Amino acid sequence: MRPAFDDPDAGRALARHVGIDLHEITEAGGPIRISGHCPAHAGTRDPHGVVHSGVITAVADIAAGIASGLASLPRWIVSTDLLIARLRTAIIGPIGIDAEVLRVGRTVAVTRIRAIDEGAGDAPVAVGSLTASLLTPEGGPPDHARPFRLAPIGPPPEAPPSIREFFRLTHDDPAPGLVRLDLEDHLRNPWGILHGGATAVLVAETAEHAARRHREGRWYAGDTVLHFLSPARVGPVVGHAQVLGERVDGTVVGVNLRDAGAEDRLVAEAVVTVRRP
Amino acid sequence: MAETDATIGDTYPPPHHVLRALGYSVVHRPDLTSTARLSVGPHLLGGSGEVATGALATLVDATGGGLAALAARPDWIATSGLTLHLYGPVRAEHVAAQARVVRRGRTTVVLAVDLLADADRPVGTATMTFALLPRRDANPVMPVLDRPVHHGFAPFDDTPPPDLDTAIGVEVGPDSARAPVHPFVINTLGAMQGGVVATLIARAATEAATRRLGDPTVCVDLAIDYLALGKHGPVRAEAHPVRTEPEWVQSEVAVHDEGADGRRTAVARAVAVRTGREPRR
Repeated sequence: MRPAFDDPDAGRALARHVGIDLHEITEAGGPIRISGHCPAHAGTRDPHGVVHSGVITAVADIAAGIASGLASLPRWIVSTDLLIARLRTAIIGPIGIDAEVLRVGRTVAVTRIRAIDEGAGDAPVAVGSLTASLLTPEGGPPDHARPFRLAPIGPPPEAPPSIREFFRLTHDDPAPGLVRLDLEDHLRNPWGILHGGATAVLVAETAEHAARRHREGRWYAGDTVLHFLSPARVGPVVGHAQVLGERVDGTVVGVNLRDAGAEDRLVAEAVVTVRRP
Repeated sequence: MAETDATIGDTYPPPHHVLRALGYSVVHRPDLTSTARLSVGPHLLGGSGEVATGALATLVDATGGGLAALAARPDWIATSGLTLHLYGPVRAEHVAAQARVVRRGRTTVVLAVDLLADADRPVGTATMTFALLPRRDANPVMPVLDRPVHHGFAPFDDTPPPDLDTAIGVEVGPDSARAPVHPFVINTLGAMQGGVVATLIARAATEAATRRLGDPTVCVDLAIDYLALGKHGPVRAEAHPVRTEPEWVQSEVAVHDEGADGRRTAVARAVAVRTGREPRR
């Protein structure tokens, strides 16, 4: 499939919703590095006001994906594995993000991710990594000016849509499955498939919802291991979850996402450790 | 369906090797599932009587590597990631790893591995990812399975194995663990086996957690990205705690091959919990 890299709007709705501002800070002879921040506005927070773990993972996916892609030129990448450990619940914002490519091999690129709370003295928010597969897109890679820059369009919105509104999330409807995401166009990436960041949000939402069903109260997705397995093209994409075990540091939840409109094709598998705020 | 005995080769694993110390055996099946087992002797126990996390990671790594090589044919593989999520310290006499292929794409293989204690008690889950590489002449030729194939690595002699850390040659320092690359720990490429790297990461994370909590801890969660082979050694894992709670500590862990100009060979995140505490209800 030919990605719409020449359309500056294709696949950018998620980045614009979170207001991410990225720029390349690669030093001569050094690894590709992308830095930036996003404002942690109301549209990134859950009903309790906590920044949604899926949003943090989505921001990590966007920044690390760009870094991996630039490091892989003249080829490009698709995300395959995203590992994120969330380190704090309360986030003031803006969230600072830093993605540094650690390795580019013949078929795989690995990029380290760090996120901080710039409003809380640069307190660590998350650490993790993105592994991506290298490929040669039909029509070539995106033609980004260097150093790379992705700027937000205007200031953060005063009344942004909520997480559930923007990501078209519904819960417990229809059965089976815990959380459903309607695959509307603004949730697609330049390849025309479900954006990796939206996938991350659905994984986190599904894991947290499963934990709430298992044991009442508030939960957030702490550590996430997300494997992207196949593209979701049709939708709705439905999140299923199973509580696997409990530890002193949290509850381990297995999550899988399926494209209900494509014969329940398996889209992603994840293991999420959910924790109390 | 009958199972057949087979050997991987004449020279691997060598007589004194971590897979033999585990009493490791595995069955690979034509449907691309595998079941491996280890018998938990005293040498595989951690300080609080739990099965050493490194032993479980090695079980996962060896099982996943074999299955992925079968799934990848005619291509070859390079391990790119391993995650291990235990549901608490594992106490058991036997542990089984049940592996299945989640995806075999054009560029990657993804596996899921469930860990069961004493036949049927779930104690953890793991995932492994592999990059597919064009096969080279030096790579083993993997067979097409038309029946289950069994590999078993019995201990080479009757000498009781020392504890795993001693056999590996682990040296523990503040927030760190290192070990040489020697025949006991190598993989088929002559580099430190991925499970042994995981063992060092778990030890480093445990050391860091124990120093901060003041009590024994055990590593229950690992997420590892393998970046390069550790061929020279010593290989050193150093933990940097990023979150300290009353009952657990989360660390970033960096792994370097000190004998290869300090080349970075892996990065990881790990959680170690205070031992002797029951899960909250």
